[in-house]
Amino acid sequence: MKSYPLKLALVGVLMIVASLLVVARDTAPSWAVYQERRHAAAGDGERGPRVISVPVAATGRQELCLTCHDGIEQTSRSHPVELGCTVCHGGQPLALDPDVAHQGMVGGANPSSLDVVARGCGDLGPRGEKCHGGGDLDRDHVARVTRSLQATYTGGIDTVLTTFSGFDEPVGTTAMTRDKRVRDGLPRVVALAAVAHAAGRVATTAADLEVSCIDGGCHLGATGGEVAGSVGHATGCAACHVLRTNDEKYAGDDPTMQGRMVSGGGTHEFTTAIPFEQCNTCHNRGIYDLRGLEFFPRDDIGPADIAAGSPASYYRPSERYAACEVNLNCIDCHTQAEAMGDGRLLPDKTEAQKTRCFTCHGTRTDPPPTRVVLPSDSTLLALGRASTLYDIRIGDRLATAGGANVLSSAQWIGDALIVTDKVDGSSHEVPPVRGSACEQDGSSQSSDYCHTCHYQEGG
Amino acid sequence: MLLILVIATTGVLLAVYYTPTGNAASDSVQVIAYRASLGWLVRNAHYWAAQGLVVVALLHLLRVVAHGAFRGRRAVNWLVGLALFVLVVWADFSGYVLRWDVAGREALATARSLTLQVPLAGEALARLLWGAGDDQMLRTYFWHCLGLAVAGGVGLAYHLWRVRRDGGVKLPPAEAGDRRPKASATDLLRRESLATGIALAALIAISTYRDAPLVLAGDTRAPWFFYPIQLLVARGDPFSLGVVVPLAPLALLALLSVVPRRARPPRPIPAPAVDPVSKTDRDACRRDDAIRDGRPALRIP
Repeated sequence: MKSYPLKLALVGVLMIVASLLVVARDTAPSWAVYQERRHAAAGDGERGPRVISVPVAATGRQELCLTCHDGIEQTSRSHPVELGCTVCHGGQPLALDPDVAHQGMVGGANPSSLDVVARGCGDLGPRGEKCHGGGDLDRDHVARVTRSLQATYTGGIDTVLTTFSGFDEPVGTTAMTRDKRVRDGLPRVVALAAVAHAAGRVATTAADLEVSCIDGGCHLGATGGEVAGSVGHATGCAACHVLRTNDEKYAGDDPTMQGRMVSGGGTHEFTTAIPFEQCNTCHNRGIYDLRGLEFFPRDDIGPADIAAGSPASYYRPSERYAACEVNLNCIDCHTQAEAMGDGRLLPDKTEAQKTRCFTCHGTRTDPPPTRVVLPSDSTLLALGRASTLYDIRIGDRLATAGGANVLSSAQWIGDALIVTDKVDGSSHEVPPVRGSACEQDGSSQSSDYCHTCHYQEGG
Repeated sequence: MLLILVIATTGVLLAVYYTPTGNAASDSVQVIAYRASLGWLVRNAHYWAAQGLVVVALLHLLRVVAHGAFRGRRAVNWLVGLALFVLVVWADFSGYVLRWDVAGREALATARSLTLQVPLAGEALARLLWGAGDDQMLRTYFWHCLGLAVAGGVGLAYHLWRVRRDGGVKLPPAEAGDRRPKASATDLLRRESLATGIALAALIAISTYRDAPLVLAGDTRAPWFFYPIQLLVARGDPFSLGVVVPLAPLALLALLSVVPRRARPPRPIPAPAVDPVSKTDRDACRRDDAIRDGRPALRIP
């Protein structure tokens, strides 16, 4: 064979090139870029890629997720790093290739999305333990939230159907699911068409309802930000518990997520300290007309007010507000059961709201109703554990609006009811009606009635 | 042969980490792919060499058919080769199963279900080939690492020995009469070494840039060489479309060994250059004349 040495040399070069490719990949794996980015941001001077393995007691397995996601925020004190990622997110904990590692994830980046929340937040792990699902209704947040007004207006639609058309079969999970198979199998919402024929936009199918209510941006299955006047928010539990940011970008330290667009923005951190600005993401945006399935945004505020969560975006100029409505946050008075539902499909907001002025202030004859925390009050005790600003112990006396509606941070201490702000930790003594000059009638406890005397200008 | 050597070598290295038990198998594959030193290269090379072997074996089979080396004294080796081809595909398939990911487990369930369709012997055959219950993984592991490896090794040795015994590689008819000098042993060695080097470099390169698949969740599909069967089975009777149809081509190929050679027309006699009647022809004429005349036909020089 002629020129064999030359050909052999060329093959040798090929082999060397192939070997160099191997060395290049092995010394600089694809995930190394995230660690470099992380170390550069932290300025810790650490060099060289390393696999980060976290032992997870719940599953008995190692998880390598932090190899890429090093720097991501701990979800909360009750969701430490040691709980692992796959317990909530699913995925493949031993894989370092993103395409493989993200196989089988629950709800993408958001396992609290309502279509997967039963798995994402409801389950814990391989032995079938439940975290936020199953068990008694007061501990089964998944069952309650998915039926709450925050998640669905099915109860209201049911009422319209029954009232105007005699259609008495429940539409069930009309707005609770995004599963097309279920959605298309639901009946036409004939009543809406019958009573709202004059309106411009009328839903005639369950799919239309979903487009308006869920895709439209309000209820918890929504991606948000698609209706004039609404502000982008995450879906599911994260809509309230992950504090949104204005630019809809991830704002945390996970190097893989830097600059990525995320519904509602925010970080990986969950909180129970939810400020009123977060509530305003959906509330106080305008008026919703069920008959026409149309939303009419407020015209007295601009997009900048909404995005900034300014006081002006909450306080309507034509209305009066009591001091507690100005100085406290929504969650200081409105209970978990009000916000997250009590397991029923309610027809409207008034059915959900149990807290009244007398819940904290009492009446001219009675002090505010209270109840003592018992060892069986696991939900209340869990709320205390979740907060760094207030605590709940067995034997504490808390204000209550009846049933599960306990104001967890309104506690009798000595002879006074002290409300601890759940967001900033400030304490506020509640002035009682009894013994004061107040002439309120205990049977008329709408806020408008109290606002006749007790108000201050918003802002 | 290079591919077989690579598969054997990387297979032994994979066995260092691989755990053939339940869910630990899938975890150990990920340990190999992501944690073990150069494990990704070993696994990828094992995978790509195995895919290459299926392709090369198929091309080899087609070449043998094209050259007609399946009848006569080569019939036995043709059948051995066919059996080796089946072993190669089976080994590749069992390797696919041993990933023990969603795709592997579903593939095993499908293969076992199709085997059960075989009349009378289905249950026993399924138990033999794929095991049952908890021992399915271990049975597949046995066939992949031991059963098929030993059978394949012995079969390959016999196959190669038999090729030499049957007169070497059969050339295509067009080259059978080629009188050009054959390549020397040294030349052959040089060509083989160059081809081996190029193939090895290509294998390393593709193993560096394309990872062996791992489907731990989501939709799956059969390995590429069984994908047509998956499409077929989805359209009708599993026995006829999943067992008979895939085995029919193999049976037809096996029957080639008993197909008689087609009678060839006599070769035209080349015209003589100078003497229109050759010495041989003259001798034949004389012999015919002698027989006709009753004289001795053989002439002793």
